[in-house]
Amino acid sequence: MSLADVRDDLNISDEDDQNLSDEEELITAQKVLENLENAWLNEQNCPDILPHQTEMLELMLGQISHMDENMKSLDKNDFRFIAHKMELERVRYIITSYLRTRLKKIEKFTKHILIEEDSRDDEHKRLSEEETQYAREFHQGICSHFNQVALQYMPPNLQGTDEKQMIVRPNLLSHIYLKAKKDVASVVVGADDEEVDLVAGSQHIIPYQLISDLVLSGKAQLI
Amino acid sequence: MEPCELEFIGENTIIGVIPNFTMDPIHLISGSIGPFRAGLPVHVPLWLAIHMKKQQKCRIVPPEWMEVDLLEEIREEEKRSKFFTKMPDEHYMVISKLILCNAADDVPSAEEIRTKIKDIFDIRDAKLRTSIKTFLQGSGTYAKLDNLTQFEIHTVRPLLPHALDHIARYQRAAIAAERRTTTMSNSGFAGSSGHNSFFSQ
Repeated sequence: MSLADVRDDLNISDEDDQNLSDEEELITAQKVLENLENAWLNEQNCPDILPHQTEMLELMLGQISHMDENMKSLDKNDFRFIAHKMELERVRYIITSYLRTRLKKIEKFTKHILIEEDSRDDEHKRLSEEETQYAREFHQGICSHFNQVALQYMPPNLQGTDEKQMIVRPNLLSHIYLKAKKDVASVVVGADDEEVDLVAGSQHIIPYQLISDLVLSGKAQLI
Repeated sequence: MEPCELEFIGENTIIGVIPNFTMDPIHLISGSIGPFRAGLPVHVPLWLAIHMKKQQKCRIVPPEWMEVDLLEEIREEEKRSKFFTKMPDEHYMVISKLILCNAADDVPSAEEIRTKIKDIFDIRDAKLRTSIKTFLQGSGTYAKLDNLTQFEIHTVRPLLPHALDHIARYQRAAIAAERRTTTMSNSGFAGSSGHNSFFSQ
């Protein structure tokens, strides 16, 4: 994955690919960072796990290692070095915090997320490959741990566990803070089908499930 | 979210500084900054401005709204209005804290400004608490929060959504119980209704 791919996604002209000006490259990297920041905020404030951002992450990680490489030639006391270094640390923090938030959800709602994930087709998977693998291994680990520590010492008729009873689900009706990015007409906001129009830039507190589609389509941002 | 994370987000705000050195533009991922010319104002992200200030590489230009008369007006307006007024900046608390702690010498009448901002926040905070009380006593599960800043929203974060979650849960349980008693009039046990929601978070 290279920056050229992002430019394609953003429909930026590819004509002068050879002598791509610095500025063009920066605009796209900037956009990637913006997307990651939004994804981070959404993920932190959302009760459910949101679609993974592997593409954005890979682009940003590529950019970071590219910059790390370039910075080797700079003097460590140079102001430019310090400014870049500080910014990279900030970007790294966003990335790690984002991934950690997702892992926390995976560990908490393992079985629920795995079941949901199995019911989705390849296009709409929410976990990255690595996360799926982690979730499966984590689930197996927990099961065998229960078994080794306690269950195997129980009388045989008590050893069975009903998996369905043990599923921990997120409360999708929990209240979240929301900021509308675009005007959205007639959103249902209550149990009695009360509707309001969300104006771009307005803020609301509302049960997540009622507006989850707005978050997924990027029309609203969790705050 | 943690207060430090809110500060982290607020630090992305662009602010003016007057550098005391000269240097070509720096192309950061979040956008290019500079060129730096000694004595000429330039825009940089707040996190960098604070660093430069600590290294004594610049003076910080306080944002336009960081001015005694204007803040006084905002305070009076906030007192008068029943609703929340629009703040000059989404991160006014974070920005003013960082600037006043690190670069108070660059802000004219810093002490007075500090007090004014604290006053404005206190008025808004009291207003927020009263409106929450009214809101929770009503039956709605939805509210508009216009003109509240991220920091203010998060000061009531654990409490407000949590309280609403509980109220909604009881309401659902009550509705389910009602349905149960009306459809199965012979069943005297309605306590387990809506048990699904009790297992969730």
